Amino acid sequence: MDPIPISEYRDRLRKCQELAHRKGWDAILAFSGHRFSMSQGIEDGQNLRYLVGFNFSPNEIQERDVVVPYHGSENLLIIPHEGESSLIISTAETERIRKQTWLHDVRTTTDQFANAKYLGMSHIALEILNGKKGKLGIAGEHLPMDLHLELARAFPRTKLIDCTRDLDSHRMVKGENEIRIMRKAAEIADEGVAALIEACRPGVAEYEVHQAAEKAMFDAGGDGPWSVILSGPRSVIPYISPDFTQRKLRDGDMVYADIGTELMGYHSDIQPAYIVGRGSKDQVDLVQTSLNMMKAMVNATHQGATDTEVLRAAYKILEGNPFRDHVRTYTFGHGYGVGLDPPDLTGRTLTLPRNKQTKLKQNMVLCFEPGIFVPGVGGAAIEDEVVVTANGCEVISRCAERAESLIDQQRSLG
Amino acid sequence: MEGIPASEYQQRVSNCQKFARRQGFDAVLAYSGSRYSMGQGVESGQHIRYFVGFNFPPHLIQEEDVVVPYMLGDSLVVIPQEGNPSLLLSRQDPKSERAKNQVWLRDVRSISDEFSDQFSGAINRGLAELTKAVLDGKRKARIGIAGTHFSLQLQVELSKVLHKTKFVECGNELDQLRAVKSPNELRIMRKAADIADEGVRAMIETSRPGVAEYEVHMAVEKAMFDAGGDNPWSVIQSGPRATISYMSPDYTQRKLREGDMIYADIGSELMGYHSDIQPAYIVGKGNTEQLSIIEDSLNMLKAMFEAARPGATDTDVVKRAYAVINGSPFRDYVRKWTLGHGYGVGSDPPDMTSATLNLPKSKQMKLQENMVLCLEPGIFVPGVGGAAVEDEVIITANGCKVLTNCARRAGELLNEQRSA
Repeated sequence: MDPIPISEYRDRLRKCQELAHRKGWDAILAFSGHRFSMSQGIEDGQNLRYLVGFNFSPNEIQERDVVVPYHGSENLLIIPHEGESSLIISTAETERIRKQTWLHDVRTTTDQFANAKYLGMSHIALEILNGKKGKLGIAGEHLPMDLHLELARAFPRTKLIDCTRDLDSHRMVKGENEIRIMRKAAEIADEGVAALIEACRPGVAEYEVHQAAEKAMFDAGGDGPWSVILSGPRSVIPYISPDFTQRKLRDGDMVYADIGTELMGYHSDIQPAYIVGRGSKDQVDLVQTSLNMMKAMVNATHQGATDTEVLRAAYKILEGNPFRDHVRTYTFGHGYGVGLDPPDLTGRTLTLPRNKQTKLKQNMVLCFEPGIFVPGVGGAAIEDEVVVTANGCEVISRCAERAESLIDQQRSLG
Repeated sequence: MEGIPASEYQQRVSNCQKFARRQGFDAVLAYSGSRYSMGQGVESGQHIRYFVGFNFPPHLIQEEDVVVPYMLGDSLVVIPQEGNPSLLLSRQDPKSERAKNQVWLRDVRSISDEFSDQFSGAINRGLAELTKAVLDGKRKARIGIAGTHFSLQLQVELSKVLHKTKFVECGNELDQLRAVKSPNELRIMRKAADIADEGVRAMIETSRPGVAEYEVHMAVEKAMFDAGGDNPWSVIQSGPRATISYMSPDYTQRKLREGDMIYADIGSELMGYHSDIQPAYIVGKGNTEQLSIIEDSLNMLKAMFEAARPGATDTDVVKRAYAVINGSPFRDYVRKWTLGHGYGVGSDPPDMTSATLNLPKSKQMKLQENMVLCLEPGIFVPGVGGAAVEDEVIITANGCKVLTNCARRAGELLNEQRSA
């Protein structure tokens, strides 16, 4: 699969420089690292992946000793308002990283600042920006407090202005190359779902279902596939259990699954609904309600609509619905793109209430994931990825379609 | 497997209260969440797991809808200098309600609805307000705060609602309370280590030419599940990928070839505790340099075994490891930033020292009986291969007891390779 050309990365950096120009900043310092937090978003190198690259193909990852600096190291990208950008890394892997990037200036904190990387980053940034210290933009979902303090010390008379959201917003609308990679990543996740449905039989352990899904995604060309398989009583608890266990599936279990893969730095993320064997009426109704919400969201999505309008369409389905109070309220969806960061769309997931709405634009990629979780009954979410188009959206995965077949099949059992 | 009795959690809280008295803290606020950062350590609920529990055996996790609140979002354990502790949760939902009925601790509260937007930072305000309510009528001039990822925002909100209180960071000191393990903890950790050893055995069995890294990973995962592990994990990096420590996907479609070195990292969770070991391996016949890499790593590990005993410092242990490879051509390729770490509840390696074992260190730590350490010297040479040998040890009265078999297996591998 063809990578994203270097010219596209240069364009992205130029857009940051235009922002710096407009705001009167001498430079933008973009932080990236690897940090995952259930409650506060994800930092998975998105600034570095988006602005510089290191988005290797599976073949390069397998056969060359490529290193991915957002994994295992924290990094600061210095984007001066004009001229070439520099990268400060905090790993000793300088030689390999230099060979593997198109950036000309890569420096490390490990030589002089082995045990004080934030001090090192700040000093090296000062050296690079030599003299320019009027105003600086700083960005990074999880820019560490200690780095912020060190920067303030190194640039005592400089105003540091948070521009995390500005940089995030550059990522929202995808280019053709990005959509090409994301479509492929979504197809791979779909193969994972097909394997899940094949494997979900009574007596099979959750982890065996996980392994079948993972294998299918590797075989389909995915890189770093993952899956969450929660069955029976565990299906009513999204996100707070081990991802899969030795629990053996039983007839009548609901399965809550979340499946995705990485591909050249981009990710997919979908959720099928499933019932092992014969489901109860409540279980089938629950899947139907999630599906209706999903359809309403897809119908409400088009260029110019807001995220809140999309959500309201889903909530409208719930009026008078017995499952209304069991909806997973904290997420109905999110943007997606480079890195694992779901807030790629808006800096936030789709929830209500929102004080700030985001207008959807053509070529944004969204993951919609309405879900219902009822203790004693089961849980289901249906998640598909969509690309926003001028008149609507294109659904690029097949979980809603499969949920429809599941419901038909269950109802035909009587 | 038997859990840890409520009395032991109460004892831990009472140790923390003694600590608070020594430090002059009117209360201690211990933050927990679920957060992973390669650069800044791991936060996987260690405070809540240590003081409150939620360390369920695999069968409860499988068959009951038990809730593990460190994955529910941010939480605080509030331990006043006298009296009962409280647990503050940042969500108000059926899951949090369920959590309340699953622990020994009587006072579990959720933040009120108005602060419940998980993505807006309002939860910090909610946790601060709850803290104020819990400490109402109690002295609160000086409060210790702890937690690897205790956020700036939470500190700001606490200072707003308790504006006369002085907050003092005590994360390292609180971590130290966990360093020495009890008989119950050692029992669980021994079992978790045995499970990881089963994973290593499966890795060695499956690592043949033509098998993909992810297939080795799956065999390892299955072996650990079958041995009773909960949440097993593994990293399998082969060939050129074995020369990269931690900056690469954990496993790929790459098919193993004759002469590949494998860098592997393997472990499992069990009732809230973790294991973490690394075998060295060569597929088929290795070359002289590859064998030397393994031999150097193994010699470093053996030197660390000899140095690890009560009274020695972590720096003594690290220095002994470096001493045995003076003059080795691979000395410059040692993974300098970690030669080991403490381990225990949660997946937080800094369980012992709040830092990994490396040089130079500004602050040394004295080893004590019943600490658990993972010792993991490793060497990574571009173009040749990489290997780390990691075993878990318990510090005993006179030295240490090795719980796992990676050093032993590496010794056997060297003998086999040399006789081939």
